[in-house]
Order: sequence, then structure tokens, then C-alpha cells
Amino acid sequence: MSTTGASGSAWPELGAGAPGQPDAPPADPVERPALLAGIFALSTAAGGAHLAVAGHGFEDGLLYGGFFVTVAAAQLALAALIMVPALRSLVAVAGVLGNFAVVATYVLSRTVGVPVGWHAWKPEEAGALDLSTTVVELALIGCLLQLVPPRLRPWIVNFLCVCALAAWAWRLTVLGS
Amino acid sequence: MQFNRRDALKLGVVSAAALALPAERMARTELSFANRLAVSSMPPPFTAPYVAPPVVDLTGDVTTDLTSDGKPFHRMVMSQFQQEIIPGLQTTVWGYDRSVPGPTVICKRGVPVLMRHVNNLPSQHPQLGYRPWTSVHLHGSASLPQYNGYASDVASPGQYKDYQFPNTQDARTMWYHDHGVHRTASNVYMGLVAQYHIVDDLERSLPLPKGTDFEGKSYDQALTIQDATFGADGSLIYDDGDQSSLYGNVILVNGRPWPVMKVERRKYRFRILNASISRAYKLALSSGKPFIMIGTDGGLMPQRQFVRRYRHGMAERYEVVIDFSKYPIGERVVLQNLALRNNDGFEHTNKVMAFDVVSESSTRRNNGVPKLLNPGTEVMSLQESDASKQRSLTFRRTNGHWTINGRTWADVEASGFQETIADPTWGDVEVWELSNPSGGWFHPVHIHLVDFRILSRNGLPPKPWELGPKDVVYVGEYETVRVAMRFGPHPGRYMVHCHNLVHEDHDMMHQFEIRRPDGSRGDDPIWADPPRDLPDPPP
Repeated sequence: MSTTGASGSAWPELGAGAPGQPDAPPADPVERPALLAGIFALSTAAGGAHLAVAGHGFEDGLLYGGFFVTVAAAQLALAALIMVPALRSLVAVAGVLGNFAVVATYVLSRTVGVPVGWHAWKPEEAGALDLSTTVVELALIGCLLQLVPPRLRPWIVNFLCVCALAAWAWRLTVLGS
Repeated sequence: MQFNRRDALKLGVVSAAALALPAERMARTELSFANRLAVSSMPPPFTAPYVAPPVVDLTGDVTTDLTSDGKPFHRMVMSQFQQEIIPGLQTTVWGYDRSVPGPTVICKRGVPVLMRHVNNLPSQHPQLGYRPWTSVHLHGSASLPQYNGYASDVASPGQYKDYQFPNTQDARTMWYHDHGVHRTASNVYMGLVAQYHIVDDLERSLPLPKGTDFEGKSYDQALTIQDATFGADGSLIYDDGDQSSLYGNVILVNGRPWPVMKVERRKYRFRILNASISRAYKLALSSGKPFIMIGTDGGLMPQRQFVRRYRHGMAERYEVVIDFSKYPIGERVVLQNLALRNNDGFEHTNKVMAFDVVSESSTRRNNGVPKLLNPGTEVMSLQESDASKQRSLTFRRTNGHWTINGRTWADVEASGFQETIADPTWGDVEVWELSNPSGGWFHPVHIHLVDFRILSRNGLPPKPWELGPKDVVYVGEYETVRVAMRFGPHPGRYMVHCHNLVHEDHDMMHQFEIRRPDGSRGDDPIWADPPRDLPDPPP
């Protein structure tokens, strides 16, 4: 991966990756250490929160406990791996999609319930800890998107947006009042 | 790389969905709670006057109905009615003999009684809509299996059941409450709970507080503590937190919110029952002075204990003496509830009731607490070495169920009520190790039929307040408690369960079977004497 600074380079900062444009590397995080530090802190916080509730999860079943441990491990691993320049783009893409999947699962669990386990289709109450963790994960997604290769970023952002619009449409139509 | 405005907008849509959808549902839930009684509408603590429940005296000392074979008899009716618990509001409750809590029954040791419990409840619970079957458990009584309140031995509305209570045990504070399978928590929450005392000559011979004060109120008081949540219209709101626990925001003593009791400058005896569904209390006096602990679930302790605060789990009974002669007239002493882990607290759940010292003692008689109370009980002399067998019971949440050694009452039902978790021989002593490997819950464990002695808690000696005969033991977070007991006096199948009634209903309950040494079995808890349809004949 190039370590050449983006400033003054030929790679456009805005609208990068648009059809017909050359693939551009993401902005060099060496010049933005705060971004990397932020990702590290956010992902560690989210992983820690999931680890903290894993014990309760296991009491609800191996499936729940395993889920929390897996998510925690992935988020803690992300915090470490994002520091490896060679893996950064890959980790960023995986991190965005993975954290989005966690957020989507959370929304499902708090609206209609997850489809498996003893809580199957039984919505749980939203609480301060889980809402706070979701805020952290959304911020993490926002930070990671800045490290996603520009040619992929519009697709990913559009995908997230379509999913969110679908969730709103589902809420307003199928779930009703 | 920065976001452009379009990306930011799209991410805003994502964030809004991720946060607003759960929050919107939470808000709707909160709206459904909006009909709850506001704190500002609750009676301020210590404004409601204390009341004692009515008494049904079956000691034989007063005139009472008798069965054809001469036993004291009482026909007790469970029914739905309105009671003013929150001043100015009517609450629909279920009670025994139109009282919540029900009447305190007083019996004499050695005088068996026949209690006819009539289920005259409506066909449906007013809010939850289920059919209210009932099974009356006299908690602490060594009753035959068919009279022990076996959870699946249920009487439906329009039925009655005659319960034979032997009253063979030492003087003690027991209580009767509903135990209907899967409905115990909501039935008890509606009010099906009351105390039942056995008195005996030893207890009567001791100079413990007895007699009546200037108001005609006994120096020996039954305090039944519960917690509840009320709707703005006065209705009871049952919210068991997705089958985990129920914590109310109003503390009731004998059905009154945070009452205040006028007392004389002398000793009073309080038989304190925690009849809450899920709430445990850490009780202490606001003055910092100690309680004189004299009794536990199975009656008087071998000797008195002085404790400044103690942990009181659900279904446990502790008998304490409070010496109000230590306070000047005009002083108020508050019975406080200090914080305990894994109990949801609300604005006023840190207090229970108050005592206002208002006059000098009317009498100096029966105003003592001897050091030795009942040192000769067999159960308190049990040793680890007396045990013929040791067993381990683990209480934990597994796959979303409350379980004992991974088993539930559903397994008992599926086996035709034959599956057991232990099979002690009649007359044998066993040591059971009760453990709770979780930090998220506590489990007050009740073993039916027997009294036990607590040998150790996490390898340490039991707490000072636990140095008496017990039938419920608080198994706290990450705790392991060892108890010793002799199995009898009856063979048969009896239950063991968590007394967080939400846990019990879903489904942390199982059974053990005591067999005679020759292997023969006791009476069947369901079929030996089942409920019958009304109308009921004379006893």
C-alpha cells in the first residue's frame, strides 16, 4: 500500500470511485492518526460491551452466548488489525459489513425478535447499554467507511441505505401501528 | 477521505433506523407504562396506619367449627374483590376470606385441623386472562403429599379441597399461599398469601413479648412484606420482565403501603415474612440498633442472636424482637431496606415501614428475650457426619429456562410426575449442596416437607441470622450452600424449587421422592385426595 500523502495527489477526495474514475486508495491514515485511534477506541468499546454481556448470553443458551463472544472477538480483532497497513482496506470493508450486521441483528431483536433461540420472535426491551453500544457501532461504521477503497464505498453506502429504508418501510407497513 | 453530503445523508438514514426503531418501540412500551401510578400519586411513606390481618383461631381455645371426628375446621374461600390499598383507589385483588393478606391462622401443636379451601375465583384473571387454578401450600408444614400444595394438584374455580394439616411440629411461623402450576407468581401477586402460626407450650412458657398494648394490638405481630406496582386506576400491574423477575415500586406491609405503627416503650415480637414475588430485602433499623433474632423458618432458634442488618429472601421467615424501650417517646424508627444485588430499586423501595414510639409500656410482663430459646431441636444438632448421602443441586438458567441440574417441572410433567431429582430413604439424613454459578441472579431455594440446618455458605459458617431451623435458604450470586436434613416424617413426592416465583413458574422446580426402607411409596400427591366440585358437604 502506498504511503504517499493524498493531499496534492491526483486522487479526488470527493466522489472518488465514481464510474469512469480510476480506483483510488483511501486517504493515508498515517496523516490522520486520530481516525485510527478513534476506530481502535470505538471497536474496543463495542467489543468490551459484548464481552460484558456474554455471561448472561450463555445463560440464555449457547447460541446467544456464542454470538456475543464471537462479536466481541471480531470487534477486538478489528481494533488490532486495523493498525496493519497491509490489511487495512480489507479490515475496513469487513468491519463496516460486520458491524452493520450486528446493528441489524440488534434492531431485529428490539422490534420483532430474533428468529432463533428461546427469545425467538420475542422482542426484547431496549436499554441504555445496548443503545449506547449501537451508537458506538454506528460511529465505528462511519469511521471505517473512510478507509474503504473509494471504488467500493458508494456501493456499500448505498447497500446500507437501502437496508435502512427497507427497515423503515417494513416498520411503517407490515408492523403497522 | 471525507464524506460528501450525499454519503452523510445516507448514513443518517442508517443511523436513524438503527436507533429510532428500537427507541420507538421502547417509547411505546413506556407509553403502556404511562398508566402506572405516578410517584406523586403514591401515598407518602409512613402515612398509612399499620393494620394487622384478621385472625382465625383454631387452637381449640376458642369456640370453632369441628369436623365429625372433632378436629377444628375452617372453610376458607378464595375470591375476587376490591380493596383500598392506595388511598382513594380500588384495587381488584384475590384473597382468602376477603382479606389481603389473608387471615393469620393460629393453631396449637398437636391439634390437627381441617382447612377447606374453596376456589371461588372468577373464570379468568382480570388482566392476564388465564383460568385461575389453585393449589394451597402450607409452607413449613410437614403435611402428607396430597395436602402439601403439590403444584399440579390443582382446584379450578368451582372446586374445593380439604387440606389436613397435622400441626405436629414445634411452634413456628408458617404461611399459606397459592402454588398452582405456572400461575403461582401471578396468583400470589393478586393476594393469595397469609401467615399460619403453630404455638406450643415451650414457646408459651418463655417470657417473649405477648399480650396486647394500649390499642389492643398484640405485642406479637405478623408482618407480611410484599412489593407491587399499581396502575393509575389502582389496578395491579404484573410485569415479570420477560419471565425473569417482578419488582414493584410500592412496598406493602400487611397490604398497606409503607405503614406506620404506634408502639410502646417496650419489646415487640415481629414475625416477618417476605411474601414478595422476586424482591429480597436487607433489613436494618434507622437507629443502627440491632434486631434480636429469635426465630427462623422452622421456629425458635437454639439461642437469640443480635444482628444489625440481615438478608431476607423471598419466603423466608425471620422472627425478631425490637426493643423500643431504647428510644424516647416521640422518636420514629424506620425499618429500612438496604441495597441488595440484583434487586431493582425505586424511589421508596429503600424503606419498609416505620414505628412511632408514643407511650410507656402498659405492662412489664412478657417483655424479655432469654438467651436460650429452643436448644433441643433435632435438626439443629445434625452434623455432616450424620449424612448417609450427599447430593448437589445446581440452580441456573440454561437455554432460557430456569433449571435445577438442567431439569425443569416440564420434565416432571412429561414423565407422568415420576421423574425425581433425588430419592432419599425415609428417616435418612442427607447433605445437599445447593449452588448458584451465576452473578446475575439469586435463588432462595425451598425444600418442601423438611426443616434443614445450614452447614456452610461458600465454605464459611452460616450467617448469625441463619442459626436456626430453615426450609428456605438464600443461595446468592456465586454461592454454594450446604444444608443437612432428615427426610420424613412422610414418604412421598415433594417439590424443591426456587422461591423467586417467576423462576418457579418457568420452571425452576423439580421433586424428590422419599421411600420407606422397604422401597414402598407414599401417597400420590395428585390422586390420593383430589379437589372436588362444589357444592361442598358438611365437614
